[in-house]
Amino acid sequence: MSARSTSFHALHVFARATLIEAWRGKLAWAALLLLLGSWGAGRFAGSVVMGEAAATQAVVMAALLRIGLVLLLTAFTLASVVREEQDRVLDVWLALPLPRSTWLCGRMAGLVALAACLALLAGIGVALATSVGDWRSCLLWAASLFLELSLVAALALCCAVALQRIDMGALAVGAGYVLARTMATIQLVAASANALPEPAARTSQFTGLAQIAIEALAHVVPRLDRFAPSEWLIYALPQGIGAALGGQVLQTVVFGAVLLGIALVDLQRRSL
Amino acid sequence: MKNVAQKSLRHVPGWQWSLLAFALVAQVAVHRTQPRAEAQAAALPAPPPIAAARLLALGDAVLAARVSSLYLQTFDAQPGVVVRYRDLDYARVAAWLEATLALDPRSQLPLLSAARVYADLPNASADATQAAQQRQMLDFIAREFEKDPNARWEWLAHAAYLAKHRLKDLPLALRYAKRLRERVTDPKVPGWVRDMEIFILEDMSELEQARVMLGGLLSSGRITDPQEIARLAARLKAMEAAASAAPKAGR
Repeated sequence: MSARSTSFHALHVFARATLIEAWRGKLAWAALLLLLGSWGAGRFAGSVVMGEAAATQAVVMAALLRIGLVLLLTAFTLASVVREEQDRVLDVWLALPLPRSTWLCGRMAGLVALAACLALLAGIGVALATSVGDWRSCLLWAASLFLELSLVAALALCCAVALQRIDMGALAVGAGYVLARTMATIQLVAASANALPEPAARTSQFTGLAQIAIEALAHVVPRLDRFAPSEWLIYALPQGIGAALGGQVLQTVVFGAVLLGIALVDLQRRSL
Repeated sequence: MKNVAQKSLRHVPGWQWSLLAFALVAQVAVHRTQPRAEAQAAALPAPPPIAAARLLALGDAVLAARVSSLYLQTFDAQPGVVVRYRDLDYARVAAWLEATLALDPRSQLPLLSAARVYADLPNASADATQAAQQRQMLDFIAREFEKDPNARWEWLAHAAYLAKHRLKDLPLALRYAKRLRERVTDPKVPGWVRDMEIFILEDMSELEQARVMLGGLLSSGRITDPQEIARLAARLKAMEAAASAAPKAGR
């Protein structure tokens, strides 16, 4: 067997092991419970609101599913990788005559497959449980959610490898996720300081520095607020949705590569 | 998941049971010393800035709009107390509705709430407070209508109805009907929307103006539905008959 095919086989094994671990860890049950809970909450919100009940139900259900799946995937990734490190299983893998990137890419492939399953489950759940939109809208929303979950999985994997602790990793992923989802609004708020009538507030050094820092940060943080938007579910799909989804794929691939690059640098420097 | 073998409860020492029982009794005693929560109606706060609402919803403006709608809608049912609409600060209500629309301009829910709930006060013609509140809501609907007339005509039409029948303010109803005629351009909008102005003029006994407007509308060619043309022509004929009868009666 050539080195390349051995690496590919090992990558497949690591990916499969990730999926088996998720299955045995009752992740599917947790996802189903989440689906049920978000459906119940959406249904409640829809029954309380005085109009546009179906749209409200869909938006609330989709939002709860999105945040719930992000938390679920983050917790699974961090716990799985950190446990592997603490049990010294990772050392065994790294001692094998394989490039270290094989373990990382195998893990990532397993997590991406897991993200696809979870996003598909969410899309089907929203399509079945709500009467707004159509199957195409739900499918496109699920595709966008899959990209968002993949990015979150990559971030969690990177944090688990670099920090080697669940608590610190959870904090870092949470902060990164919130920042990525709110970056556009933070930029708008920062820019609005320029429109203030008070010249002192406009020209204060701190405001200027903060604006520069925010602009710099925005360049290295993906805009997750564009991913899995609720309006795709309740309104007519916008013109150029293909381009929008293509942009999200590009963003996922590029930022995913950045995160895997960081994790790989850390992994290469590790001595057994 | 592996089951962990457990000993029977008899293996727990007696002093630990006593400690647990004492702690529970102490908890009940502490609770009883604390004052009972009193139901108190809170005033409606100002809505959060749009940027803050977006931040709280993690960048999902549509979700922020739905949550904002639900918050406002359920505000009158606070724990232990029900706030009457006349006790609500309608300027704040309008601000919340405006913020919700700014977050999700395609939603009809804020305008529906304004027209069918907050403006639909039963005693507006007799009660000055309710009349003022109703006017605030109608003003809000009229303001928001101007931003997207073809999507929001339904609510201004309802506002014109409320102005005419609840507030008994025909000039206000006429103003709204005029804006509907001038601003709504979507051919799918039903004909009665642009005819409202004529009928309100008729109600105001402005027969001559209504007749001129109706004649102009019929001759403009904007109406293509034969049934509507026939209905309006019959109305014009009736108006002309009334107009010619009026001088005779005067003589």
